[in-house]
Amino acid sequence: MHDISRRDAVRSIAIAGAAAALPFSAHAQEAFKIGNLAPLSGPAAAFGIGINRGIELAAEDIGVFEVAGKRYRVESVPYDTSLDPGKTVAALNRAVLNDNVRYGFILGAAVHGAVLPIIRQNGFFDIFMGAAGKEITNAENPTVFRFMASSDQLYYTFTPDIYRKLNIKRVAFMGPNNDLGRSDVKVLKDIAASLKSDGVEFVGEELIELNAKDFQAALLRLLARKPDAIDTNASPTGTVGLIAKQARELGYKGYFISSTAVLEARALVNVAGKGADGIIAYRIWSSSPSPLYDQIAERHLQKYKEPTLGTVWEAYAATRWVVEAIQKAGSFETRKVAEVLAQSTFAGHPYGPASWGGDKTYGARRQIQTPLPASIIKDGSWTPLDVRMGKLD
Amino acid sequence: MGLTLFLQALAIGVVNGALYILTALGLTLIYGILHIVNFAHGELYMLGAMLVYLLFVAMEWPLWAAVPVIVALSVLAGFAVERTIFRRLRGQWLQLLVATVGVSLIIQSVSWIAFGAQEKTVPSVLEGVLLLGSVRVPIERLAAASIAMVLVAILYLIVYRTRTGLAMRAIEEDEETARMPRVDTDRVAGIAVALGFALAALGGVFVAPIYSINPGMGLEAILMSFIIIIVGGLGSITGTVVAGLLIGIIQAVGALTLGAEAAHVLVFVAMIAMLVFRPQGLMGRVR
Repeated sequence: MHDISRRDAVRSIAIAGAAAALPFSAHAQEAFKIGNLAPLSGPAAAFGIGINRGIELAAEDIGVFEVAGKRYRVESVPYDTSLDPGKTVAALNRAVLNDNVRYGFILGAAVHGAVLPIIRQNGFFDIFMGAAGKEITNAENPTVFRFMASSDQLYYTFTPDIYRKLNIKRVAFMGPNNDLGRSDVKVLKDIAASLKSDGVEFVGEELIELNAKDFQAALLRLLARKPDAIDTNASPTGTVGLIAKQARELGYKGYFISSTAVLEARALVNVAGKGADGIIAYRIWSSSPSPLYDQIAERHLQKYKEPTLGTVWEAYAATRWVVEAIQKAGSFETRKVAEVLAQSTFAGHPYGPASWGGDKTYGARRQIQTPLPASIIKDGSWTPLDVRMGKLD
Repeated sequence: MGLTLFLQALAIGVVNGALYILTALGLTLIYGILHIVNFAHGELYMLGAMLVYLLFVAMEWPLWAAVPVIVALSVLAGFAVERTIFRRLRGQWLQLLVATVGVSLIIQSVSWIAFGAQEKTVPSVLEGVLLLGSVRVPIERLAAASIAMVLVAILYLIVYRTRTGLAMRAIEEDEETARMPRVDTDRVAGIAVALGFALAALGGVFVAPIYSINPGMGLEAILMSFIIIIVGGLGSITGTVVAGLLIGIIQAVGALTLGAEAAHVLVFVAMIAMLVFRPQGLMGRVR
């Protein structure tokens, strides 16, 4: 038998001590799981990847936080939904039943019709990223908070001003053939009808497959009605770029308005090339709105080696704001946190001061209100359009 | 609907149809000679597009160097797949079907990891629009469609004017009989699969600058290819060419007259009508 030297003994004790401490330290910081139910592959993948990164950047800034005497750290749990309602239902069931996830981002108004019953049944806290209106955020869904501008905000408080400013009279719609596209085309028709005295007219609509790549023939039908602007609704970046490119090839010289989408500013120009000029987007900042915005852009570039994806900002703010509300509530009970969150304001949003609205329009204070710009591509670069989103009661 | 609009839709349909044909031809070639329904075919199309992005955009190779490398790689892949999978399972249609689905899933999964999930773009090398009277045809599409048609003609010559083509057609008729006059059926099968893979990859190369690309793009391509080869007649090169153009025109004229959603449905209606009233397709044979 070997004699154990004093040095070996000390080393053994140190290793044993470290090993014993490991589970303790892991236990000392439990994971606060935030699901990310979003497309992580396919044409809309940038939306979901951006949310993941927003959560990660926020988690770095939040660090360890305490709730009811326990220490937690934010952890992102991604689920690829491909923006498909069926896959989103499966992902939410897995998150709630298998992974014990009670808070999560769910991207896409078009998938919400399918998941709202599960959200209501389980009290799941839905950090909703998408547009649409009252059908999602309302008094029946107290744990659903829309952290992005709604279709009502984007259309009613932006669109008429842009039509007037750019002298747009004939409007057409080319958006996805899902729930959101079908609902938003009605909103656009409604706006055009309300602006009839200004000479505005809705001239045609085309609903397209989300994964489609060739729009020439459908555009031909639309362009025959001579629109001044084509609203591309929630179509993702690649789709908007291809629509613009193909419409220009057919001789179209008017505007494109990306009303409810989150676009990747640089990628759009890459896809559409010179045809990108005249694309208007409602949430792209041509000039930085806050120092925090710049700081996140810088960190994103260093960490992920590419420009900030469109959903990063809102995902970052949502993560921080929800964690702040949980801390204030002193509990993870989602309905309690929802009550606290609805009454709060948030100064740490990269777009500027954030608060909640929608009491009158939706019957529930669940609609985020932040400053939001409109920008237009001129000579391949985003330039500000002197219009700001209005307030929603 | 005015004549100008109709002619414009016709031009769109013919050009798109020509691009569909290239990918569908590879599929019908492999089916016609080996009676294998290659579900991995769409992934070869996707790999062609992603490789042109990798070589031409990411690594900044000139296009004239990138395209031959992609063709060479797809030919090698064709020989390898034929040797390691198709040959071993020949005659076992269910096992072959499952194997090609497996190959498809493997290629797609690896591609998502290798190329990432975001849409990618390949810059256009031929910008501008050709005006034919009042009909506008983008030059890059016209060039891609024209090259596709030249490749179709070359394939036609290979199949109908060479000894290898004769052997391919002999195997198509009856593999056992084809073995008798000392036809090296394995070699011919390898060539057929390699040709099919190269055509699919070239299909991807040509559409990469026209559309945006991602590792999931093969699904749409194989779906369209299946529709075309069913309408044209399984294994028929001429049928595939006619059906490709027909489907392209149905899509474009349908979208112009009835809208995008209806046009999408119209293509499937055409396929189902063909299956019901002429199951062998436009130019397929009743076996």
